Amino acid sequence: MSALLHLTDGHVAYGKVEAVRSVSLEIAGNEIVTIIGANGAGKTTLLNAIMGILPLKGRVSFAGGDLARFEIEDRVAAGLSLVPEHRELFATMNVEDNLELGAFRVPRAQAKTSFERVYTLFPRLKERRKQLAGTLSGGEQQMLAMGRALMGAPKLLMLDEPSLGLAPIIVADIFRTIGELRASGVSVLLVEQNAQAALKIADRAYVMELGEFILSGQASEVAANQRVAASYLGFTHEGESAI
Amino acid sequence: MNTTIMLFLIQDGITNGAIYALLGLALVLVFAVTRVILIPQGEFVTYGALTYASLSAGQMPGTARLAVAMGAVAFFLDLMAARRSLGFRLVARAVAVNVVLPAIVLALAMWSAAHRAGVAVNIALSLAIVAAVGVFLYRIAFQPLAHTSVLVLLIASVGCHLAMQGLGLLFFGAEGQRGPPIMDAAFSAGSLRFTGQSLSVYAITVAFIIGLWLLFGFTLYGKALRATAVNRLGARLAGIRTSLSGQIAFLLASLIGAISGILIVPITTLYYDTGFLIGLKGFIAAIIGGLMSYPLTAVAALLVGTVEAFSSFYASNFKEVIVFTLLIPVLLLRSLAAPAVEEEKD
Amino acid sequence: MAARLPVVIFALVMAAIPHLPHMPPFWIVLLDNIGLSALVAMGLVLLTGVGGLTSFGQAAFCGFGAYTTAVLTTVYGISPWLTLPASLMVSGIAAVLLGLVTVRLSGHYLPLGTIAWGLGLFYLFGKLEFLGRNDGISGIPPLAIGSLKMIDPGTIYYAIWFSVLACALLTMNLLDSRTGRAIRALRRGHIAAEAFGVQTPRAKLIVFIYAAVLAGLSGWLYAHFQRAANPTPFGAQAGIEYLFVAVVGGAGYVWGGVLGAAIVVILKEVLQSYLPYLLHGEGQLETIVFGILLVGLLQLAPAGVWPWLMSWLPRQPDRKRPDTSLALPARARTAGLPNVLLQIEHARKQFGGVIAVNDVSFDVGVREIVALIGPNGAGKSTTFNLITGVLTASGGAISVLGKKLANAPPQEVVKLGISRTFQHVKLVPDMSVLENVAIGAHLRGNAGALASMRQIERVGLSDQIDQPAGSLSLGQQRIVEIARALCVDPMLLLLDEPAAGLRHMEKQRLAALLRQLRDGGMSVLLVEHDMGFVMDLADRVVVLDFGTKIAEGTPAAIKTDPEVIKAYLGAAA
Repeated sequence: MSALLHLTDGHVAYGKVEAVRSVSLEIAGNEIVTIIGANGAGKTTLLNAIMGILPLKGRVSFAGGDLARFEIEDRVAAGLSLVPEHRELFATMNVEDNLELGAFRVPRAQAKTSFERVYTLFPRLKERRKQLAGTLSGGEQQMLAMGRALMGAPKLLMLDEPSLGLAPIIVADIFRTIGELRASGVSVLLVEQNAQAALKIADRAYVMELGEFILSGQASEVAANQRVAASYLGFTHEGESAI
Repeated sequence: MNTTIMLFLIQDGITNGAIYALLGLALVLVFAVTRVILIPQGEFVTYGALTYASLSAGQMPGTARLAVAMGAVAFFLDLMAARRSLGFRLVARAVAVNVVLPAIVLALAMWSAAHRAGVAVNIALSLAIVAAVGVFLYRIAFQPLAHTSVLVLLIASVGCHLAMQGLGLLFFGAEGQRGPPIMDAAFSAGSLRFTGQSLSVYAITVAFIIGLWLLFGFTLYGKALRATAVNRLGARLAGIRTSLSGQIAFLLASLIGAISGILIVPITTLYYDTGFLIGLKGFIAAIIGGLMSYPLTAVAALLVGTVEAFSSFYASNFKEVIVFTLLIPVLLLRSLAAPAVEEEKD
Repeated sequence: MAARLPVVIFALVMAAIPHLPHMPPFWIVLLDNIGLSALVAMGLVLLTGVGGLTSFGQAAFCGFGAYTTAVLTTVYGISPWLTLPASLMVSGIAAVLLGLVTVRLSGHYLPLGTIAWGLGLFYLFGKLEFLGRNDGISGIPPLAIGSLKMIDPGTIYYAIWFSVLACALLTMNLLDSRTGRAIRALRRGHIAAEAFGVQTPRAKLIVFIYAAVLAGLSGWLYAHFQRAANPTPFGAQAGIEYLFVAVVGGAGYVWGGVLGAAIVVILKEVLQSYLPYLLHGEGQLETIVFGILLVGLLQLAPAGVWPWLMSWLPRQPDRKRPDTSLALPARARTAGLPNVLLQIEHARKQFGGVIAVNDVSFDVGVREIVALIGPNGAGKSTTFNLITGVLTASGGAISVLGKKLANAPPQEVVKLGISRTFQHVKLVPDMSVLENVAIGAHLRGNAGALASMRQIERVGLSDQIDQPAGSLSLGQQRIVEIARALCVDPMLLLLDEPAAGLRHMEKQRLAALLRQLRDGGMSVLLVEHDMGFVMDLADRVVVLDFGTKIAEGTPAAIKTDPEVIKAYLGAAA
């Protein structure tokens, strides 16, 4: 099995409450995988646990190595990267410094090429490179958060709700970029409210409800599922009744 | 008052103020990176000064043994923290940093105490000892509390201050000590006399301020420290070890404290608890700087030093009271200047 | 009253202790000291743990209590019982004066300010002639009931522990009240609390005074226990120690204060009496060990020992509920309302050189849902903040039912029937859903709990009513905020991104609720990015871009407006 990320029987608990139960997940190289589901289903919790922000019970391996004993920082160094829901930028530092710090764990020479790559993907960031991150618009902040993550040359980029709070015109931009990432050899794990857009771009999808995966498969198959259509996409397939 | 006295008081105030500025900067740095209000900063001053004085007098300072003991505890904690993933490199690193390094310093200190090494060696050793104490202090006391509130960190900080001050009494006794000057030269300009010692105070303060500015503005590690201060989770997601940032912040703070101590111990007699009061003055400067602004802290420190010099001339009994009361209107002004900021943190 | 059972048992145990055979008097003295310290710590629990105002100066208030009775009994020969109200009054008045300055300090300045006046008062006690300078006042008469003089530690024990229990019950009742909820809301910042009519400076001042009066009571007891008063126990060192007590015990818990007092007092006593024998050392060994143990204790239980202990116990049973069948007074709706409820004319807001809202005009009619859309940073939230009085406008006028708001503060705006939710959820995470929603009913007096129950049912969160708000998903937390806003019984509801984080069916349920509210006579102004949701729901849409209104009209018109498509919607929509 040559999966990039391999999670078997993952559990995440807040105190005594299990927010994620017995979840297994697999992501191959050059693949966009999306997790869709209701708010509170446990998607963000799962991403945070894979990143090491929350304690995860279960086996998780990444690029052939066991992640269990890795701190967040070491997972970053190993090529796993998360763009969290709140973006967590360095608000009082400028765009360039934010990006430079994204490459904290990669050799200096490589950081240089990373800069070029990020500025090509997001020309807007190059225009604003001396501006403080906190003064950027929402869309630019999302670009910067993704850019900072890419500076670390990740093998797998996990995106938590990249479209949250952005204008539709910007969202289209972000999703186009996600497609370009796959082309450049980065796998993406995408958690997204906007199920329609997510299923359109993803190769494979998992549907999460109440902390468990209830369905998985090729994105097109998942999108065709009538239950998914009714509760996440907001339409029913012709001739079928929802639920 | 005649101009000579006034000039003399101003000079005195600036010399003290420069020391307060150094300490204030260290406090701002540590608070920004770790959210710890570093009450034991004063103990770093005391330890630095008295370690230097003891070594110069040919005595073995207890702080060297403390560094070894704290290193052992830190070693134990490092092993516990990494018990699931013990590898050779990890253990080797832990041994080197926590055990070998302090042991070497201890051996050198013993040698130096016996052979009465020169001023430069003693200064270097004192700095090494206090720096080790500072880094281990973060590792032992604060790193396990890194996720807690500012209030809990503050209480822990007071706890560390109590313990370290008690240890100071144990190591150095209740008697005051003085150390040999770094520089004997002196010259006069008009009615003012400049000693080599006070000049080195100015020089080192300015050098440190420039050094910190360069560090934070232009180096990757400096930026990483700033990033940790701005957003801890963001820093971790960028691969920056926040525990390392904390240790670096404490390393700088303890070095600054020790240097301050070494700079003043030739001028004034220091007791085991003197550092605390000196640290408090730096603290006032840091508060005036909002625990945020480095330049404002430096300016405030010079002001505190000058106010103190003048009040000790006119009302020496009330010296401390005047300096502390100065704080309330400043706090009010600062609150009014930045009122509507929501504090979202618990 | 099952909830009170542990308290009764505790009271009985405490009452029995002095009667135990062979109880060493030394332990009684220790218990007296614990009680005295617990009283101060309890005030700090409320002030620091619950209200978020850290004070290093509580020892000074003990000083006020102690010195008041000391002077009145020794110089004027007044009976100790008569000096009790005087002691409490003096502490309270001192708290008002210091509090007026202190609660205006923000952030870290507040605790630092308390250090400053704490030190100042300590020096003052030691310098004043009529307080006996550094020697203090001795010969204070003991407390007495009839012929029983409370001279020995075993009798004043009852006075001390009666006070502790009474104050603990009082404090818990206070926390459970409307004022208590307002105080608990303070820790999450003042904006949300003020949006529901809480006078935050007043609420802060109340806790400040309450904590000071408890400290004054402790000081009064202390003076009659020691029968002397001098500055040392009221200095900065003592002030820090009280904070230790509260933090070690658990700064958010009334009983944490008592437990913390026991831990710290006993620890210090044991260290002071036994350590010198054990180690034969000189110097301040006990301070070293005390400091180290303190740090260790915090590492073991950073939230305090009390919650750490409680987490080992089974969960508490559910609380009693108000009867929801009772009638609630509704807002008097003006008959024959004008058609325009909210009118914004040429509103303008400038931050330094940046113009966030530039000459924006629009209005919201009665029974109308208006959506405000635009990219992030277009000035939508700023517009909300101008309407609700969080920010003062740099120009223009905002009026409600024809009456100009003229920069009224949030507490006044909410009284006009305008309530809101926040883009970044502002709930108190460790308070239950019910308690959070009840803050919305702050202006409705004691009917608050009832109103809250109703609104929680209405938004469909009855099952989560007792959960801490922080345990809910972000989407559910937004719904809790809506319930809280509905508690005001508003005429106009301002919703900042209410649908963010909801899934399709939840969004539909929310839309249905909002339509139902509109049909019931309420108006809604909402900011939202989900265009499907907005276009489906809103009667009218206002589009902002870079602080300027670029379009206004029905959803159908907006969807095809070329400028809106260019600036916001993009070709895809």
